[in-house]
Amino acid sequence: MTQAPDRNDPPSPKKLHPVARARWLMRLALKELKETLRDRRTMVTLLLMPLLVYPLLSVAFQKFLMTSLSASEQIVYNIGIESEQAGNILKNYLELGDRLIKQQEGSQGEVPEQKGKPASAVLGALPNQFEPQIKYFLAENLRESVQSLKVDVGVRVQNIEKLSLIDQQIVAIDCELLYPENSRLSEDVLSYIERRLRVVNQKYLPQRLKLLDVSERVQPIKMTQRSVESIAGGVAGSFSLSTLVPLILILMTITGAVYPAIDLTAGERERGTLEMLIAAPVPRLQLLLAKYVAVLTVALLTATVNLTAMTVTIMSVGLGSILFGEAGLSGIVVVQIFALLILFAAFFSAVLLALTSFARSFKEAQAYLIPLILVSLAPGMLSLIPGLRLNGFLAVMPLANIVLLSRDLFENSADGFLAITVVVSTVGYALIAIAVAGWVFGADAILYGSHGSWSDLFRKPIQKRTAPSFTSAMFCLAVLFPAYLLASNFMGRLGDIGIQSRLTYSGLLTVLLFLVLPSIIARVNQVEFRSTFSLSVPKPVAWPAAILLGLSLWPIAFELVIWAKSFGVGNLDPQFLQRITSLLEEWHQLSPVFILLALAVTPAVCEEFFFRGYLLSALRTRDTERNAILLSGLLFGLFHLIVTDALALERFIPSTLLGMILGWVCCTTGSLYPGIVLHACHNGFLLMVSYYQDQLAERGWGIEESSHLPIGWIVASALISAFGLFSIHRFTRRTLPG
Amino acid sequence: MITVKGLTKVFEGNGECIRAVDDLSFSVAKGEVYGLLGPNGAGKTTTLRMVLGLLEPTSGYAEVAGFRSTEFPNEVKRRVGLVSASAGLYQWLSPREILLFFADLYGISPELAHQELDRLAELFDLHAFLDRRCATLSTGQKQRVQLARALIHNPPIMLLDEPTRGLDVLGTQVIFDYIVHVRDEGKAVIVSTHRLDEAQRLCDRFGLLHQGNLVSEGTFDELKQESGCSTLTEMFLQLADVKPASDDVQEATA
Repeated sequence: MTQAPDRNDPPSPKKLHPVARARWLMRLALKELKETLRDRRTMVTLLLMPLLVYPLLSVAFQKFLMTSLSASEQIVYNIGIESEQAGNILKNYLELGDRLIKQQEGSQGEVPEQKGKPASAVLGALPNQFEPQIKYFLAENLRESVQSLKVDVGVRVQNIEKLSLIDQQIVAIDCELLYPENSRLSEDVLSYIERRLRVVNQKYLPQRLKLLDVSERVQPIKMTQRSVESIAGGVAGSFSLSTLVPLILILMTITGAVYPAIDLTAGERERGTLEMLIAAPVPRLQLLLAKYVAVLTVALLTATVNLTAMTVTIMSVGLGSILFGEAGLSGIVVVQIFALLILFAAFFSAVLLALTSFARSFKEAQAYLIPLILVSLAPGMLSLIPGLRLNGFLAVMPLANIVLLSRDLFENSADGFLAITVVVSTVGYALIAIAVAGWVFGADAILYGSHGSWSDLFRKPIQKRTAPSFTSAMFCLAVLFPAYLLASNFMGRLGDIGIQSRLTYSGLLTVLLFLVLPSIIARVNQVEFRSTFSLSVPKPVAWPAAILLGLSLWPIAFELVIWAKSFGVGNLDPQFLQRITSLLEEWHQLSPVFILLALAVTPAVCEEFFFRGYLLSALRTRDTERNAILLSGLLFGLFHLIVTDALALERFIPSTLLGMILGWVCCTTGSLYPGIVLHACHNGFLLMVSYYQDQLAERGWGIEESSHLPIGWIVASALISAFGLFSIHRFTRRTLPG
Repeated sequence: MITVKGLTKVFEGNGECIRAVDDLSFSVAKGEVYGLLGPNGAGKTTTLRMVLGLLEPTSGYAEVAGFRSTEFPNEVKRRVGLVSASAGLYQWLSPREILLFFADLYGISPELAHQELDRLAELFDLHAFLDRRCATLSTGQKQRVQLARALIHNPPIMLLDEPTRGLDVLGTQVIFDYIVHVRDEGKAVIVSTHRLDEAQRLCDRFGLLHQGNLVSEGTFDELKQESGCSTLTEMFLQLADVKPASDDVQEATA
């Protein structure tokens, strides 16, 4: 085939030494970067926006605080006391302290209230307007009142005794100040009391010292403080402002990356440079990597400029202690946040490129990105919910995980294991997005538009097709997932309608979404049913083989779940487990035949119809059979993870594996039917084991939720499964129509 | 250098099948300029894209220097320089940066790339604007940058897709000189155009495309003899009109 070329060929990038190759890639990236950074539009989002936004935001924030404080009638400090007598003594001393402070301020000019305290930093401009109203509350159990935030600070007055001065007698007290943790307001009240009582002590100190009797106490008031763990729902007050900061930073990083991502992908096509680029002997993934480096760099530059502008603004305006507590904004926190921004930029740049690579013009790319940005706002907003803690699930939720981890870093409460989970999952998502982008970028469908577009969905083709288009399958999937989720939630809100009605409703929903919906779309798109849904009769061996597989695969699936749990994946909510147990009890009111029909046969028929019928045929038009099986299995696993298993992570691997086996069975036998039988047997067997678990346990066949199965069972199951798979492979292979 | 055999491309979309190129066969030797002629929509650009491996043929194949474009697309791409009227330039980069970038894409060492850049700048008289932003260049200057870009890796084969589209007399003359230059260098050249008069001046052999079919093929004298016409334009009109396309395909591929 090959022959000697006419001239000395230049070395192809593949032959380069890794270092030279990295340099080569950097040169390509540098070109992309030059092109982007010279564009004025990039510079606007990169430099101008952050330089303007943060000062403006801080001014707006100050204005808001000022107006809300002055507009509100008065700030109320609620102080809890244990007796009226104690209340009177405290009240007198606080009023005396207040008068003394005012006298001092009157003689020294205007000294801001509570110098160095959070509120005063912002309220520097309104010195004496800040006059709290003090309310005293009698509380029998002072500690409980503080814990439940009924009062801001509780004052326990003890050891009341008379104390002589030179010309008068006063009351001496010991004060224990109880305050809840994490409440900014309580801290303010605490320092309010402290300052006034200290001033009173200072007033009487000289007189007491004159008496100079060391055996007697000198100061009339002795103060101690005790913090009390709050029980009134996590963080006291509204929500933590420190969550808002990472969200703003993340949004600003997004704005930096959006323009270069569109310009370097969809822009190439619009300018007419994409064809020349693809005409060069460089794999598309490498071209894309160069673009990725450029987008990532711009995103990081934007992040740096933003972080710097924000830090400088916070420092100069004095918002540090309001947003980040007493310690303010420390250098370590800034470094940690920057590291998280790198991670976020790496992830989001990849997602942006994956999406804009699909676009054929700027306009189209923008149309794709608006929903993405709206979707990304949702987890961001979610993370603003007060008291929301980063957990196993949230640690793998894109965007929300980074926002929550940033907040925890700000509050010095980050968990090491969860932080690693956030990093690893985000890097994983970024790699997936880059792979998708590399697959799509410069594909001839995008380059020349030969594969049609979304509008094909609604156009009736002239000729009958043997398989549905990829676009229509994705559309179907996009409708199916949320529709099923919403309908299931709706069912949950129906209240107590009885287990039978519930199962009937669930069965109808499955039929409607998995059977009727793809059928309608197939009909509209003139797709042949027989070939699309593999509706041909398989060779006879396929039937027993499918039954064998259906009955023998469950121990392997069960072990995979146990294995996943041993790695800490998916610890189910105990409430969810309780619900399942009560559901199992309810089942016993129904006949096993009804349960099998509703939960084994209906899902088996309908899910096979969609996943192995519609979806798999569509995927096979785009890629090899193997990849189509893998992808359809993955989507099957994801569907069960998100929609039917209430995010039970440990179920993901067995569901995906089952999906892949079912896909392989369908492709190998050329028929949907063996898969239906396999699926129904698998579900049915597990259901019956649950249904009769008490009876089985009595005979010593019980299965514990958390312990491994006997090794003999697993070996037998593996052997039978292998035999089933071999039979299908050896005796039923046939050519698929189309 | 270039062999095309039974090349066919069917586009499916919008519910219909379009045979853009139908069973096309021809070959081009070293130092030969082959004119792929036909009206808009005849399948010229699609053919060139398949030769270069940018589009996958529905059936048939194209071979460049012994490499099939479907099997070794990168080997083919390394040996081909593409000039296309629809190609654009990076507006924020200078011609120097663009030429060095493409040299990098083709795996040319930086030293050699600078030598080639000097040679091409001399050849196309780029020195005056080599470091100016492309957005500020005139149409003629942009065209010269495009021509230089296609030669930066000194390919043995050139594909020119409608190279004179939108150009004035001077611009067209630059293209003519360019084609003569690359032919003199011994490169195999395919020029696709609908300007039959221009093709007559430039090409050694011609393939007349009509609705994806090769209606007729040969040197100018051969075509004249076959058709009895004196110009390519007349020939084309006659061949396209008189003969039904399906008959021609059988003839051409026989």
